[in-house]
Amino acid sequence: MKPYGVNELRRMYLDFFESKEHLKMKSFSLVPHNDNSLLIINSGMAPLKPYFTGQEIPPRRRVTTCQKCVRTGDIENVGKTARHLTFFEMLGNFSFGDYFKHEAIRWSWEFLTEVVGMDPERLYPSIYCEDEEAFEIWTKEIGVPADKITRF
Amino acid sequence: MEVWNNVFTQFDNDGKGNYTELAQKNIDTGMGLERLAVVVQDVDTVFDIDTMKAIRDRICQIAGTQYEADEKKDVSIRLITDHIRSTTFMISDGILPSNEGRGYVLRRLIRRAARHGRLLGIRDKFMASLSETVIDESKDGYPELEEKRAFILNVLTQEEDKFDKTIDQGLSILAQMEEEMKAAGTTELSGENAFKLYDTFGFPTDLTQEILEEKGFTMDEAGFGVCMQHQRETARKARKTTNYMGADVTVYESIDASVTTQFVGYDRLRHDSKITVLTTESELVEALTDGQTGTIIVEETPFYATMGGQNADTGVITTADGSFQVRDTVKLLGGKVGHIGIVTKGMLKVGDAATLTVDAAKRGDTCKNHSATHLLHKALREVLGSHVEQSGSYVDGERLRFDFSHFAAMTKEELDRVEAIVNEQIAANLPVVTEVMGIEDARKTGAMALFGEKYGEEVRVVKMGDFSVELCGGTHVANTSAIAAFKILSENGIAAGIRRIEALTGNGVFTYYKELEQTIEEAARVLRATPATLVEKCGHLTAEVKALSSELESLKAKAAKEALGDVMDNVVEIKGVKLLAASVDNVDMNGLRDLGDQLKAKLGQGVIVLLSNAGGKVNMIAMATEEALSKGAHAGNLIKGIAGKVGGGGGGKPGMAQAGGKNPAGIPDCIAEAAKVLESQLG
Repeated sequence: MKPYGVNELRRMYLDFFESKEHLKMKSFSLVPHNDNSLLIINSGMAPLKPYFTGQEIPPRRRVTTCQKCVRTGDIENVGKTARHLTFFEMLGNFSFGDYFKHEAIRWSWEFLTEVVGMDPERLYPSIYCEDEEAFEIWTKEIGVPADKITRF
Repeated sequence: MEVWNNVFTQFDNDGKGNYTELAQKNIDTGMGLERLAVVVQDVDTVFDIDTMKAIRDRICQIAGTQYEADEKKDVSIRLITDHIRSTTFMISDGILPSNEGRGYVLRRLIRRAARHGRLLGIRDKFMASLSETVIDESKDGYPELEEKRAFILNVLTQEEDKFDKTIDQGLSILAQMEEEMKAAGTTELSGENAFKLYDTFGFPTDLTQEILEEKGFTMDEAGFGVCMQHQRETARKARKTTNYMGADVTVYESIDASVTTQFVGYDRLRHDSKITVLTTESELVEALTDGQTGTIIVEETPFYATMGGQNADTGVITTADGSFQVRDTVKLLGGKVGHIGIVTKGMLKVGDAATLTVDAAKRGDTCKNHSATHLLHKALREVLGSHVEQSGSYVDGERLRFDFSHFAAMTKEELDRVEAIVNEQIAANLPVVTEVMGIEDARKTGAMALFGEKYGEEVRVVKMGDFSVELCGGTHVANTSAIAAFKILSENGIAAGIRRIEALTGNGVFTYYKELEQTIEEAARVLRATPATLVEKCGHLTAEVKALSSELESLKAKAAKEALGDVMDNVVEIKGVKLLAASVDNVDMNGLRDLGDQLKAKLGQGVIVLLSNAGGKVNMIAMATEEALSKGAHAGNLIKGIAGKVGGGGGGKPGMAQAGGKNPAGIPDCIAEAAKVLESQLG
């Protein structure tokens, strides 16, 4: 695995999902539009809410973004730990009633192992405890040994 | 470590624990870029990945320190590394420091970072210089950072400067409070004091807490909360009801998402279309009848909905059976346009063919104001510099308002130049051309894009000759000459680094000058002059008023002296000290003091006692000069000793005292008594 820079990784991700027929959209502004519940955009899906709820029709049913996000809920811990951040970038691929688990799981695996070049031996998928469908996809389609999968 | 989170939206929870399978299944999957980089770059923390390390290193360089040498310093280094990123990006999206909402979040982040800079021993302002590193590291993915570089740095510098002042003030007040706490034997800062620091002095509460914590003190958070209650309640009242996704709950949400409206009003003001949706304020309806208020949605509309600072069109919608007066036009979610108003005649039904007619005069005036705003924007950049960015705009049929970034009040000369440039471009007869093109092509034309605005892939470019190119969805005149005239009414500051210009165009300018002319004519009539001789006449009048006032002053002074008579005849000498005790008519306390000073100058050394009957009340003063004091005179005791004769009391210092009384008949007794009291003092 090559030690790709942050700017390279961002481009690799967006290009990868563009190759899977996603519409590559620019990061939305940190200032939410038509959303009183939110002071500042805090996740990749936040600016896409109207597409998820069906209030607006998305420009395409597959969308990929790298969204700038600000979260200040944990501001007291920023600096004190090496994990907390108030600013981060969220890579996202979204399906609005289009593809579902098979593609989502397959592409996340493909991106990590083939595009970025992570060692598959070091990756441990986790699934929702009752999601047998996801378990089947991981073990049968991707070929991950059952004992490497954790249920939550 | 979790790198990727796949969210499958498959079931709907009805709130009672029952899940049903959704018709539309969605995928919302995300991966934090920073976390991915930690794994890929095989480093320990997010602060070690390439883009973050560059910032971290720059901080160490500015502070002259090392990372991982001192845990306390590392906290500050990490905090600044993070906060400079959030603040840089927030400003690039048009958020400005303020005391509420997003602006407060930004202010708090900037101030925390600035404070930790101080903890690291950085003496000078450093945020702007550090922000340059953020911009360099991230402009690859966010070109807007490079575009707004100068603006971002300016905002950071200004806020850091403000923080320096606030912090100095706040620290000294907090130190004072700490002293009081020590004296009172408590280790808890009261809620009122904590709130006072926050509310009156703008000192961030988290800083108060951190500083207290460092010294082993605490803060009464409950008490602070009580003080905050009022502000919070006000804020809550201001907020509206929201639905589960946060948007305003409105009747418009029940409209089918497939309903859309095409805007056809750039070049026509009258259009035939079909009514697709009707609503009252609370529900979808099939028809609206006479007197009812509601909203009409049609397939195609010439009505411009409020957007990009341009106010909505008004007008009428007519069908075979009814007529609807459009009072407002709004853009709704999902590409719909709502015409809000009232049925003035008959009935309108869903499916009816309708004729939509925009109020042409109002639209025309709005276009003039909007086009003039573009000319103003460009003229400001020419006169003030390229740091001028639009931060807000409002145009309607009456006037235009333009907010922009600039760091000082504009001079009269600058305003005159801007106004002249805009009027030159109006006279230059420039054709206004609009073109729809890809965002990248638009950027190549050098079009000015607006702050924090989100643009689609296709944008509309509005060009006025070679003078102005701007991305804009608004309506404009066909040629700048249609604007006719441009006049700036005011220029003032509305926030840190943000100025506002209000101006008029077209008929607005003529009306403005007409009213000005009427005022001048009226003024001339009142002054019995003509507009041409008005200034001269005013000059004469001012000189005359001045001469008259000085004459009046000298007459008053003369009258006062005369009223006093030949008071100097009343001077008596008591044990070698001159005493002047006299009464004057109708003088207030201030007048008596002035008079006393004048008499003192005449008298040289001695004691003065003055009384006056002012409308049935007695005012009195006593004064003693230095020489009289050295011989034992005391004005305060003197006045105390005689005030009883007029039914009053008072006192004062040895050199100067005053008193009031209720019985003017006792004035002669007072004057006689003054000599006796003084004699006893000199004894």
